[in-house]
Amino acid sequence: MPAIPNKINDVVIEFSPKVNRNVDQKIIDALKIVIKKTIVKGKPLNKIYISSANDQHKIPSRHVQGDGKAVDISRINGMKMSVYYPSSPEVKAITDAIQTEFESYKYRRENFGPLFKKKLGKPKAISGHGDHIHLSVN
Amino acid sequence: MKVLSIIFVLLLSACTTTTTNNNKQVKEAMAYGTLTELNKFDEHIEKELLIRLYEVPNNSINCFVETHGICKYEYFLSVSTFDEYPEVDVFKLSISGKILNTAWIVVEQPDYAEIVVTYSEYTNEAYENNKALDKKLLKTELKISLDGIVENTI
Repeated sequence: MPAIPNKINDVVIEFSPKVNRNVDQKIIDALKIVIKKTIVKGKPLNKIYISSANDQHKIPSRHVQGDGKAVDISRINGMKMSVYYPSSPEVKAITDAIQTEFESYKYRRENFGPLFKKKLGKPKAISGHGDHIHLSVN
Repeated sequence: MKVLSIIFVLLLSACTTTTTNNNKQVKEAMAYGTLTELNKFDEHIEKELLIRLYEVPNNSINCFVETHGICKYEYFLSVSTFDEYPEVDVFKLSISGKILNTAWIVVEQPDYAEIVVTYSEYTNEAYENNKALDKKLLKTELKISLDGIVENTI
């Protein structure tokens, strides 16, 4: 199975030491769509931090289903969402843009984060996900 | 006309199982039934649902001669999506007897599965005890989603 690369669209991808980067191709395709330097005008995205991919979870989580169908992003340009999403317009704008952009992906499934929590395009009433974006694919 | 006839026959042989409200039988299945993780079978097939089979004796039927035993089992399927917060349900199958084999069918459709179940009408112990029982193998195709299970006799 393919591995999440160190760079996507010139954006540096950093990983938690616990991350297994080998995932389903659809996750990599999704990242290619949502991780873009110019995703927000005037606020360049230079770096993201992946805290989990095909690891640290148990079935029935999609993180470990099949080849690994979920990814968690917890830092934007080196800044933790848990700290900077409420206070940094840059982190908020980029985080919101990633979540919004992911909704246009054909195979999007779960899209949980600080902006909203949706599953298959519909709002999902769940708690948490204020400190990271969880993206999964069908 | 031919198409209508085929549709009519298909409707006759298919039955839809909806969510179970039979709490007593669910309790029995969980308390002393036999649990089989169906996802461990056919490892080469990627599963779109997490499915568990619960086998529980049907105590209301007596087919043994001069003793008592388990004639048939009833079956429940628990179904879960693969998610952080999964959708789940439990269904009682309309088939009963003794399931001998399950075979997954390749279906690349999210939150959906098809499994062919091979079963006998009675348990092996029942056949050995009562030679009058007609021993035959049956096959049913299960089309499984969170909306329900469609059972088609093959």
